[in-house]
Amino acid sequence: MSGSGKQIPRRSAPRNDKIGDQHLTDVERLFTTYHQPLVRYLVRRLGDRDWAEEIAQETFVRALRQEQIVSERAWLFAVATNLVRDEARKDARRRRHLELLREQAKAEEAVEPEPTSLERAQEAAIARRALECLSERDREALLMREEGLDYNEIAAALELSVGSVGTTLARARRRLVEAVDEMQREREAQEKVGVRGNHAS
Amino acid sequence: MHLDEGTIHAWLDGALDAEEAKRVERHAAECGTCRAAVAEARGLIAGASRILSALDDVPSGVVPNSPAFGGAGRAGGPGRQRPRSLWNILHFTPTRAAAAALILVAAGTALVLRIPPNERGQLETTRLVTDSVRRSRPLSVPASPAPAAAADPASVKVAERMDAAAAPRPARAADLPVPVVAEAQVGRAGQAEKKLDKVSVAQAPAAAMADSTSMLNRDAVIRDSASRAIQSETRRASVASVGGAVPSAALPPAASKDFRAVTQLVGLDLSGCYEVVGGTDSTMGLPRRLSLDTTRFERRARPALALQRSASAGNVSQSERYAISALTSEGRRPVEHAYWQATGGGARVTIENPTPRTIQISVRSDSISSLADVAVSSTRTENSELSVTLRRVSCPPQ
Repeated sequence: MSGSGKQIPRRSAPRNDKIGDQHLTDVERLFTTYHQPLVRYLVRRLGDRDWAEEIAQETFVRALRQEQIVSERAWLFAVATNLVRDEARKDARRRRHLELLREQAKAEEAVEPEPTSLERAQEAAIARRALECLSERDREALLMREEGLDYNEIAAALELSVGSVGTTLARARRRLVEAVDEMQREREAQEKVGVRGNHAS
Repeated sequence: MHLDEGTIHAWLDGALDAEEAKRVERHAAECGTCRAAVAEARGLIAGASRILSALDDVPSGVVPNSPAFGGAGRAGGPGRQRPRSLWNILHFTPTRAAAAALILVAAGTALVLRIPPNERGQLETTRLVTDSVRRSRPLSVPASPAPAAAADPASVKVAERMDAAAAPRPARAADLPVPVVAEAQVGRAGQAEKKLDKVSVAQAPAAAMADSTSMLNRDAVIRDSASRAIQSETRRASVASVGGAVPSAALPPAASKDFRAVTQLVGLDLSGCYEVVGGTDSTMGLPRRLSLDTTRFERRARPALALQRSASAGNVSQSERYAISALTSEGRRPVEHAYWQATGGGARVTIENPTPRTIQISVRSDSISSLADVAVSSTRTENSELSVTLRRVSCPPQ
């Protein structure tokens, strides 16, 4: 059980006047090492690449201001997660609605186009909806794990006990897989109805 | 004692220390139940990974950067401040602008079109407003070229070609006296800056205002991509408009009653023929001349998921899909990948190909007669403006 969780500040202290060269180099290293997994985590979490990039950028800006970072990866993911939560709270409903519209449009768009892209769009839509079925904590733990964070890091980022990470992940995975299964069953059932309807007409 | 699921996952994730891992391994080797649980957990881990990887193929720009959405779209990090335009300061969204327009009771037809973002950076806000307002012209009389249309050679031509066999408007509408008291002007096409619509009020019934507000609240229901989120704003805007902008000139006492009847009627039927008569480079995917038909829209292949999703998205899925036809000199030609639906107070046009978009048409206020002559102007929010004018025309013979 690492105690690193306690060292991760929820809000970083500004240190604009003290950004030294060494610090910049450190942050550069942080950036090259963690930018990609962090963005992927955020894309999966948010469903929007631009938004994900912006949150990632803000996260690294905060890293610049941060005097000292213990457990870098957990710190970055924690800050990004908090930024997402802060913003998501603001307009969760609006985003969800837009997302649904976008996915709907994407699925409807492909009446003819290559079946693979329709298939992919549908898969992504289902995955997104299934992910939304999870509790926030379960979802974040799972997405962090997928980016390679170990149990200590996840515990630190989400302020969980390390002992509960296994249970959290087990629950998250089970719910996700079950939700997808269920949605796919629904979809197949609807497709059957659709086919029957077409024959009838 | 069997292994708990959390421990199994921790073990498979390599999160247990050596001693604990060994214990789990031994137990799993001896216990059939736990062996099965381990197998299942492996499946779940792989399955979850696979599902999540489906999320990586994500387009950007899902959340539009638009004042129509309060500018908060991807405004992103707290450190980023968007410059506050007058538009922002007044919290004046197109929906609110339209709501304010409704307050101008019995004004011109004001319809709001909105195209939700279904592609990167593509968000267009479109507004339908009466091009001209004519007093008490009975709707049941087939449209001859409107006074405003007369100034426009194109529409005159079309009106001539499409003879008077038009589908008559609802007869009820003809009987209603239409108080024309105000006029709403919409920001002109092609203006690069978004502007508040200028509204000039000639007369407005103070008594009708209260009524119209309640009408608004009922009628200005979910119509656009973000309407659920901004619905309450709409209500606030309407109240503000009543309190602020509208002079309390006297009007015939009957006005509010008529207004109610008018709004109820107007929401019902937007079917009929239209022509794109003005505007800039695009018709927003609409045919130059089109008909919102009253026949059902039939699709060859129906993506089940889309249906499911629109059901969860809200209100429109329940409404029937009707066909849209392009009007050509040879006659009507059904548009295959587009349909329209009647919604609470207007209609929604969905174009599926080649550029998928949804155009929301909402009736905000109206004098009935002006339905025969409807102008559409639209605003594209990505620093450019796009404007299209639709004019109602007589339908050609079937």
